[in-house]
Amino acid sequence: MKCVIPGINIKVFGRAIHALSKIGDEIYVEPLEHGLALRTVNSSRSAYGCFMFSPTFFQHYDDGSGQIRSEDSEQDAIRCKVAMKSCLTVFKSMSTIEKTVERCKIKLNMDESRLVFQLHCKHGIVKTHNLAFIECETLQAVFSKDMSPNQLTAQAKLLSDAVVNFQSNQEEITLMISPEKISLKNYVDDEPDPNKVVHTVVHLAPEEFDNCQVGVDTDITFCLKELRAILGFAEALSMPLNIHFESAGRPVVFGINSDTAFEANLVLATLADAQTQASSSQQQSTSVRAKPSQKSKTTNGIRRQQKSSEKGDNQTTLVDRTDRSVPFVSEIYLFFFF
Amino acid sequence: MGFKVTVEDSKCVQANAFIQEALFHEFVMKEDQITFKINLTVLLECLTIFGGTPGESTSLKMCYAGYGCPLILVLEEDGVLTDCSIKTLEPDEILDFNFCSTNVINKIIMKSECLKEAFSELDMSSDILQFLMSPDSPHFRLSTFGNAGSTHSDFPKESDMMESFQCTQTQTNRYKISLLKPSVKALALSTRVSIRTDNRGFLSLQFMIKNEDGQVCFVEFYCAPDEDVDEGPEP
Repeated sequence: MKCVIPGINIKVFGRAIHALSKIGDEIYVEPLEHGLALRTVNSSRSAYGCFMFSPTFFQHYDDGSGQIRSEDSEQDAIRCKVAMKSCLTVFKSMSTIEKTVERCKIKLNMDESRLVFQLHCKHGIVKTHNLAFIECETLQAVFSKDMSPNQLTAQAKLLSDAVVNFQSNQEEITLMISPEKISLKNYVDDEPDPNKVVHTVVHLAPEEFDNCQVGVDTDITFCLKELRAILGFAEALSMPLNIHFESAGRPVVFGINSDTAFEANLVLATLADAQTQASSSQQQSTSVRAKPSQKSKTTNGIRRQQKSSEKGDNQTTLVDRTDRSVPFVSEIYLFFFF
Repeated sequence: MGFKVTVEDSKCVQANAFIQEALFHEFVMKEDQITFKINLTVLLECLTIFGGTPGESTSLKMCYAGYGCPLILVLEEDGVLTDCSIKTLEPDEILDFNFCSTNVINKIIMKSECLKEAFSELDMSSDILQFLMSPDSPHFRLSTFGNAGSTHSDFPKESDMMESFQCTQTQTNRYKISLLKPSVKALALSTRVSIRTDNRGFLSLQFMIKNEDGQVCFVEFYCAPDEDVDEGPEP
């Protein structure tokens, strides 16, 4: 794998890594024919972030598959993960990077098992980071955006102005939608006395959104920290954010689309409330056919894709339905296939 | 005539700040040379007693009556006066790094700007900072070897950041990063830096600092190389 990011796109790439760093501790790098995927999942596996940079984003893009095929047709394409911390050191100070870096080369050095970031800066200065990586299985959440009955599109500024009203230690927020009104409120749970906690509700008019398609009146509750991460990214690039969701207990997808250059998706688990648990479990068992996790009432579980035993299998067939599924720690459920 | 402040750490690194007479409104000395030791933390606390807010001008009068006497500081800001009296100590013997210019093998003078960036981004999980200076490419390379992997910053001699490049042979030396990190403060204030290594691998860093009036001060660092090169991680 070898690719070169031109100077004007370094900002996007660096900010993407910063956004992912607020979600997970490891970054999964996967060069694919249709682009470079950067992914992460949080420790409780309730949030999954993915940035897909298409070949047009790069000045030069070679996913390395041609080379692998000629050498060893049995060999899978290379997928690896690196510690988020080490990846972040490369893009530590975004302000200096935006000012000084003229292009960034990324390549996999298989001989020394290093993921190499080479920043070519002004004044002929070259900074090379050789990061240790671990080969790994692909990380992929299965979700669909197009089928969602509810779709909102808003400028990042609108949402971050709304979200800024919540306290920094607020863990979850609830998004309530109806055709008349869209509201965000802090989710209060596990408090001995809910009346002793600050309740914040922000109401937004549908007109404030670029697009507001409400199929079903719904309340969904999800983590705020990860939303802040992607909002930060969208706001830095002044791009609109698309929100796709169905109902409580089903994942919500926050998406950013830049025509052809890149795509970002953040999938967050939503809290399954008592009423929807029964119905959602039915829906999911038909739509996903996932094995129910033992203790939960819904059928969501997390799965890890086993490396296909038949090497050379198309890696995009991700689902191995027989492998173990990891039950969720909290009441938040999301269905993932790894 | 002037003022020289020397600090040392671990008998491996020495930093000197030179503040020449011209920087003072008034500079009176009755003896040829006076040396005393003083607690640096206390001295800095006294000097910043008004908070050291930028834009506010604090004036300082410093007096020393001679051996055994305290150092008297009088600070004034907006008519508010502070008197400080700091006990002085018997001076220690100062390390002599015996760094003479005739033994210098490689010497680079460059603008501080790009080195500031490299120093502020140092991977502190690395124990050492490696300097490579060579007449051949990559000419000047700073490397760290940390938990995340290795990092190299290359500065070619053709770079417009280089003001002078006199490297006669390839030298790779390692220095404890914890000993060099404090130089980042001097580097941040400086406009130009001279990097020299001698035949023993000792490092000299000299920072040229221009103050608001265009007057020039110098801060220099001497550092001994890290001995156990063989035990270090592979470059």
